[in-house]
Amino acid sequence: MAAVLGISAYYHDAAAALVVDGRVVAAMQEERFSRIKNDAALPIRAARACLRVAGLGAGDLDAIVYYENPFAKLERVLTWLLRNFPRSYGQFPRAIAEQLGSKLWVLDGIAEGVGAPRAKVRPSDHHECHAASAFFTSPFEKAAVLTVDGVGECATTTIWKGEGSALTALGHIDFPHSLGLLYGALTAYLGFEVNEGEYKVMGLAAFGAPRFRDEFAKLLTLRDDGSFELGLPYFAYDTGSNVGFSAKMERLLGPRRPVGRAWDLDSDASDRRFADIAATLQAVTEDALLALAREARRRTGAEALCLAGGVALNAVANARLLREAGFARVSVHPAAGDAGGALGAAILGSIALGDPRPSALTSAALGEEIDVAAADSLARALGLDPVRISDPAATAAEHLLRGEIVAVCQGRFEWGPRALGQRSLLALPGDPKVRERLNRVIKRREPFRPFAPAVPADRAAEWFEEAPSDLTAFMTTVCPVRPSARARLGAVTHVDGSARVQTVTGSSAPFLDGVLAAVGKGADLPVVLNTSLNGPGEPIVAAATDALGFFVGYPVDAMLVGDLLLVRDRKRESES
Amino acid sequence: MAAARTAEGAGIAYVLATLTAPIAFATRARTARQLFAFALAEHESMLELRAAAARSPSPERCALYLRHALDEERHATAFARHSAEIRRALGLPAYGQPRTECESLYERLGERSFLAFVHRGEHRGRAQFDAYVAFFARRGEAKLRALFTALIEDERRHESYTRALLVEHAGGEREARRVLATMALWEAFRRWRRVGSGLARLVYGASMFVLYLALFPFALALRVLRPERSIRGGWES
Repeated sequence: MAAVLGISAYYHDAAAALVVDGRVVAAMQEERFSRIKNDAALPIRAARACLRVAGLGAGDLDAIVYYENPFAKLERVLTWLLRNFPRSYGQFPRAIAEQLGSKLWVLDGIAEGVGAPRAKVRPSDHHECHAASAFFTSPFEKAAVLTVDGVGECATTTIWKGEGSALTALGHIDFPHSLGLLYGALTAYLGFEVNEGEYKVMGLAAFGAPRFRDEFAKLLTLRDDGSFELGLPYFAYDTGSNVGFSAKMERLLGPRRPVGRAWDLDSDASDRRFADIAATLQAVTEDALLALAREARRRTGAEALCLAGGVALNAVANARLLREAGFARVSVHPAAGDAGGALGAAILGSIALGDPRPSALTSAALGEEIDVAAADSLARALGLDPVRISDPAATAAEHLLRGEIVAVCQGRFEWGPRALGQRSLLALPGDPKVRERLNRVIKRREPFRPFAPAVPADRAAEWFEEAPSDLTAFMTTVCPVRPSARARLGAVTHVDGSARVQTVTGSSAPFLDGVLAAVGKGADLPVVLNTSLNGPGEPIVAAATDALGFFVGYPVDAMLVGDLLLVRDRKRESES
Repeated sequence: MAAARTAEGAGIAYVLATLTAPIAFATRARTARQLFAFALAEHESMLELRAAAARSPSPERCALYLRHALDEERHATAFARHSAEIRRALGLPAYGQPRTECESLYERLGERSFLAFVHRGEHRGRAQFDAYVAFFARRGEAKLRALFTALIEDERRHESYTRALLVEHAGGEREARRVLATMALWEAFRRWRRVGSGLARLVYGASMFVLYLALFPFALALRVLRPERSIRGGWES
């Protein structure tokens, strides 16, 4: 019986996770505390919060596992720099500063930050941690496990066989050949921020046609065995470029899209071309993932597939894997990116100390509980007028049925990039004007980005094809909206007729389940639009101060923090 | 009104801002860069105040820090938007959203010194903005003048509440002045370390250049002794 803390840090979206006696007790991203989106810093605040949730101190930990091996990573970086001499000159000073400045000493940094003996801190393998996060939290006893991301120590893609409490490595593809880096480079080419704008590319793809297949054949070669090779001259991993693509890619696809230019897909021919490039990238990525999944099935003979790594957050590709890869079931970890590596590391450490693998994850509410009393005091100090109510779900539904946008903070915040009903903005799903209002005054996102619906799992099939599935609980897939339902679900139906559905049960998100039931009674359609509770460029709300800050800063109609109701007093606001 | 503001804002920050404004805003491209630098500063300040709001034991002070943080966020957005507009007019891509680190000053300094730090920053900011209002008025740039004018009122309010809180927290005017003086020394030392860090970066760059050249034989040896395994992609086992 052991308490093991897992840590991921220093690349993207740092996180900490705690497994006690084989049970996943807490898992949180550092960004929720630092309020820096995708914060990569050592997640000491998240680690302390995990310990607080469990009621443990640093001295109670049996092990701390870091999600990759810093020495193996240093070797890969140095080898790459030397192999690309002298082109790597621009990259050399920065890479050495990063590696020798902090990354190499990360195990000492963790010991010092958490307050545990250095001897208890040990490294693990990046992709093994991803694989562990996916398989050991899945409902499967046996599965093929596929991890696909930018790069770990050296590997970018791995296949594993998961059986019981064991993971067996079956093969890997190494840097620089990486689907994650391909997607990242094209994300930058399309004018979005790498490691942040990939969702936008996925949404944009639905507006285009994949007519650049010939050009992309030069960027990515797929082989019959599921492996692939990047056309390296089109990329710029060896020059220290911030964007990841070379001038040759711009000669192939045309000039890149300027950062920050407003999108006009209706009348701007160049924007339509960029949408076609996004569509081709998406199609090529799906083809590559499909080939990898089929190879994983051939090698393992398994009926189920588990996915992790940043590329596994591509919900559109996941839907295609479920349909076409030949697996009966597919599961994606809710924090499939680097954050999830922290949980994988903790689980590996726990199993190594003799504990059983955790039970399947049914809820992503693994963060800290919202402090309703603190929210109450702060609301009063802000001059707001909070009211305690007896039935928060019914009250939320009442406001929603009036066509209002309602912010909710209930219980523990979510693990991973999706708001699943604990820190969400809710609205009715029917009116596209709601989507437009949400985008214009709160989210300020590109107009092509879709919003997601939440629906009770047992009634999802009435409105969505291919739902429910193992993927829909954590919003890691898209489902076709039934043609008969599209008119009633206008605010959550994407231009291609799909929706990134979240199926809800009483155990996965009890509050949201209650809201759906109450909305269903009032509107005969138990579906709500559910989007994350954050402003543009901000991490999702975590604590009471974040929640109240959001309410004061953005014009939502009402907010529910536990049983505390705040209603926007527009008359008073206009007078002041 | 402008004259009164100028008189109020007189001080080293005002004079420096007046002297450097023609350089900082010499061209449209520089103006865009300078405005984005302000966006970064406001964003960083927002993060510090958010952290303070999350840690302050008093709901009243938490509320003040939170409202201040929201103002800083609004300022950051305004600066970034103006910067992007100028860059786009020049045919250049925008710098994107401001992203900065947080020094966790509330945690490191404690509430009293944190208040002194914020107060001094707001005082300096207001003096600078006063100077820029006058500068853009002279240059006839109504839009940028309006931008800074709109922010000055916020800066004045922030300056005032942090001073009042500091006096309250310090238990009197005399102790508040002492904390402010200590903070001035701390900031001077911080500036000195930043200059040192800039120099260290130059030295580091030069030494890395020498080291990189010295690695040439190893680069050759690597190509001979360890040929690229995965240059063609494909599965490894």
